[in-house]
Amino acid sequence: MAGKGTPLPQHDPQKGPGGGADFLTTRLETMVAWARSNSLWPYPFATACCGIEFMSVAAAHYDIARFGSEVVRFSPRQADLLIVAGTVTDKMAPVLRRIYDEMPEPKWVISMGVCASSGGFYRAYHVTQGIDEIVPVDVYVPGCPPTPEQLIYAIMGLQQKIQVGEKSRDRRSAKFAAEQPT
Amino acid sequence: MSGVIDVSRRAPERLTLLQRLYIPEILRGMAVTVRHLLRNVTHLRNLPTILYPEQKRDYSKRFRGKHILKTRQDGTLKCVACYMCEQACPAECITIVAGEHPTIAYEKYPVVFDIDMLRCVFCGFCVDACPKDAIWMTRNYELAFFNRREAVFGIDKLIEKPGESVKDGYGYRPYYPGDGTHPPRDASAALVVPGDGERQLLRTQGELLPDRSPGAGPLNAPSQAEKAV
Amino acid sequence: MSVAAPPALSTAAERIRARLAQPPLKGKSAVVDADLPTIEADPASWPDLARRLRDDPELAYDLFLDLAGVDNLERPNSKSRFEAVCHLHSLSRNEHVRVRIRLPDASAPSLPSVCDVYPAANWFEREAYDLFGFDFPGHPNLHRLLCHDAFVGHALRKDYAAGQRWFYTENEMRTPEWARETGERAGHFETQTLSIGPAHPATHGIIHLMARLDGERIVRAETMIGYLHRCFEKMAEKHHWNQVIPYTDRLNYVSAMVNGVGYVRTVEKMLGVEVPERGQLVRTILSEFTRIMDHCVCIGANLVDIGALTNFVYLYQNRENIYSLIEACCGARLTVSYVRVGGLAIDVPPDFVARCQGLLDSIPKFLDDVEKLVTNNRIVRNRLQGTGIVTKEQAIAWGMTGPMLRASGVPYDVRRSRPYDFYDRFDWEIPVASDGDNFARYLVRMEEMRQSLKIIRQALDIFPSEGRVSSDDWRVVLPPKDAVYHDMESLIYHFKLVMEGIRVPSGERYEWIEGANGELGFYAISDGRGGPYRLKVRPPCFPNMAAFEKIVVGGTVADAIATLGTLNVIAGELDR
Repeated sequence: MAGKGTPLPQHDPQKGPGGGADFLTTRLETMVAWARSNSLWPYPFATACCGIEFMSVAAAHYDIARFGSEVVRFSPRQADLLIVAGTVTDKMAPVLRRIYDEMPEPKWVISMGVCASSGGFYRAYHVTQGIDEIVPVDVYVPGCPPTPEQLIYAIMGLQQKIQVGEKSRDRRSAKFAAEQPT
Repeated sequence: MSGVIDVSRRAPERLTLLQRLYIPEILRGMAVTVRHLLRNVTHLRNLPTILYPEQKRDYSKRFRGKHILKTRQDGTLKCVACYMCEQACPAECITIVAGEHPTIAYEKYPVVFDIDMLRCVFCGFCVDACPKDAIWMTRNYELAFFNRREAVFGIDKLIEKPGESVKDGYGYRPYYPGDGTHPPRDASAALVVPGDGERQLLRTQGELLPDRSPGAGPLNAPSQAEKAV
Repeated sequence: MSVAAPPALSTAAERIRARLAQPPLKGKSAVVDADLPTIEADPASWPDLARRLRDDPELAYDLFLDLAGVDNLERPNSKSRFEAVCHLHSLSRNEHVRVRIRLPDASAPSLPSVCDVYPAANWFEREAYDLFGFDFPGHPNLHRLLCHDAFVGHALRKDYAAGQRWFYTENEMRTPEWARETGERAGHFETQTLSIGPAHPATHGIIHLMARLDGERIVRAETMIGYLHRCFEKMAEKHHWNQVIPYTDRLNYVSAMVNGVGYVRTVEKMLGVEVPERGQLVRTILSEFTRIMDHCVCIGANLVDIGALTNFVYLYQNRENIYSLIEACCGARLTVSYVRVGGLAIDVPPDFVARCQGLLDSIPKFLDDVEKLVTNNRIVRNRLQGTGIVTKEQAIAWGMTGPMLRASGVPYDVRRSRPYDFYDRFDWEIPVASDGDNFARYLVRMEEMRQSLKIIRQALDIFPSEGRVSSDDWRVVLPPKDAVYHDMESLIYHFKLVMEGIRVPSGERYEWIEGANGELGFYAISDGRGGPYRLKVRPPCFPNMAAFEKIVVGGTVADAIATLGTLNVIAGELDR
């Protein structure tokens, strides 16, 4: 595996990092990544208006169940995707960190809406200016609130990220992000 | 009391025996849900569910999505860096740095025009505030980022490239021709004949904008508004 | 030198002055006329004044609406730095009154608590303590309400920087004294403390209920809020009048437009600007659709908490259909920012009436389906009937308004008692119930939705097919774009409005409308700058939520969850 100072290998989901000997491992990794990305169980950390749009995504009109999120799990122990929907205030921040810590690995975080991503237009004395002060974020979704399609687009982006094998604290994230078309 | 309706007796206080037995109520409830099920199954084309991304909801012409900076016919940005959108924005997400445009008639242009998409609340106040028809919004909402730096959109991501069609079409705009809202005359600036160093005047719909710089020629007459003051 | 006689007071103010003169109050007090009759009193006489205002049969101001703190640091001509401004309402005589109490000591502002006279004042006083630093001797539980427990300073004071945050971890969270006791014996069994929330599926946003349980029964409860305190009032002070409108959308975010209408009405009254008939009707129609949306969420989420999941999906379909209409009008589904001071942002689309008619046909079908599934359902009856009972006297004492008050038997609806935007021209009824339990509130909300449809139908009948939606006063409303592009004068007006904001003359105003949860009031103070000097929201669910901890005592945890659903607490409005 890569050690300190060693450049990280290019990761291509079709080919393994080595040669034919990695055939089984790579296929397994790919299958696991496919399974994980298509059965994300969200924990909707819904605080404000984005929570209402998340409820729209979960309702009949958009139906997040089509993407594998049949159940929204309100126990962090049973969820793998933390969707922070809505403004996180300084009072709520320790609670968010607690919920994130209680989730088992692998876990991903979507920051839904501009309030969760950066504080939005609340440059104020009680609002956390972005949840990345507290938890590592995989996907930021702009919008106030994002339309349900926008959230689904972000979940699809996260699915791609998972299938390439990135996890939220993986160091390859920055490289992956740099390779995305801007 | 007139104008007041008592709903307490709308539903009888004690349920009837049949209702308490509950099985008939279950059957009535299931009749409702099964009716919905059958209607969905027989009208598969009219399902209420929008199968994104294969289907997309047809948002209106006023949808407030990603912004777009409009250009004149010669490809330059219409924006003159007047800072009105930056001032109007409640989220303070627009950053403009003005610069002097080589063409005197255009005077200023934005050297930097950044919108932080992760601060923008998509309220449309910038579109309302612009006096030069320079910023519109489109129906494109497909934005998601992996880090916060790539969420700051500069001119290259916001400009409407001439000749290219706008992704998903225009949305919220300052006026809607033919819609009965604000029937405008032709609001876009006419073509400017290029000529380095020569004073050019912008000509819109027959009205001359006076050139007030010193030493200007006979077209320096004060306008109607200035005469009134 | 003769002193000019004071101008004659209006009838209401004169009656108040006469009643308060016999016997006279301690300290200095006066009654003046403003947009509302205003009583100016000393802190020392406030409890006595409150008692007389409530108990005197000629005055009978029994509903405590609001207590707002004001910091006059940047208004040089004011008589004291701090003021407390209270608004009260008399249900029997349908009158509002304002009481202004100037706090003389700027270094230690304090006024006696009136919690024993008006129980509704409890949380309002805590909020004033939290955000201004007013002390309320006699208050049973004077702790911070909205800001977190490691917060230093008082945020709405003018010398507090808007962006100054404080670091907070869960170690600094305050647990109430009674919750820290363990091993308390009640009968044979120990009681235990359960902390329900703030991240909980059934707490609708973020409410924290600390409950002491004896088995399943709650014997004592305290609600902690402030988990969504987004500093609306401070943000309002930092923006122009029109720029506050997106912030108002996010107050009661399930019925966004109604908050905007309430806010701009306050500003329009201060300016003396009239909105044309077409604009008022659009506001009415969209406000009623928004009210329907709010009730759909309330009932849907309430039923989900009980376990009836299907209704959520049916009621959300109503919301989606109304979203299509609103998105066609202004471009956004939820946070609309559609109103402006003086009218609306843009006119409605040409197919507006047809779209509304389509909705009038489709919404009742979903409502009927939900009624068939729910109203005579034995499980729903067992859960909702007889739980969360609020009697009429309790509802008034706790300052409740809206469906909570109407389900307890008081037919108070601002659209009837102080009509605005054409409500007096329509024929509609106020639903009331007498039981005051959760089921009564469900019935009241279902009927309110049907009454809203009735109002919309009548509004569409008189909807003019052409006309302006906004005032043509260019000092207030942005001129149309073709004028801005071509006409110098319009450009100047446009420039001044965008850069400096609307110049509202100095003064104050309290205007109130019927939000989906009750009386939504905005108290605005202007000092001539382009934005509000002080903007206080009277959130309808604030006193409702304050009463929650008293309603749930004696019931089970499951009943508490059902009650919380019918309270319709929207954290954006509760915490601002």
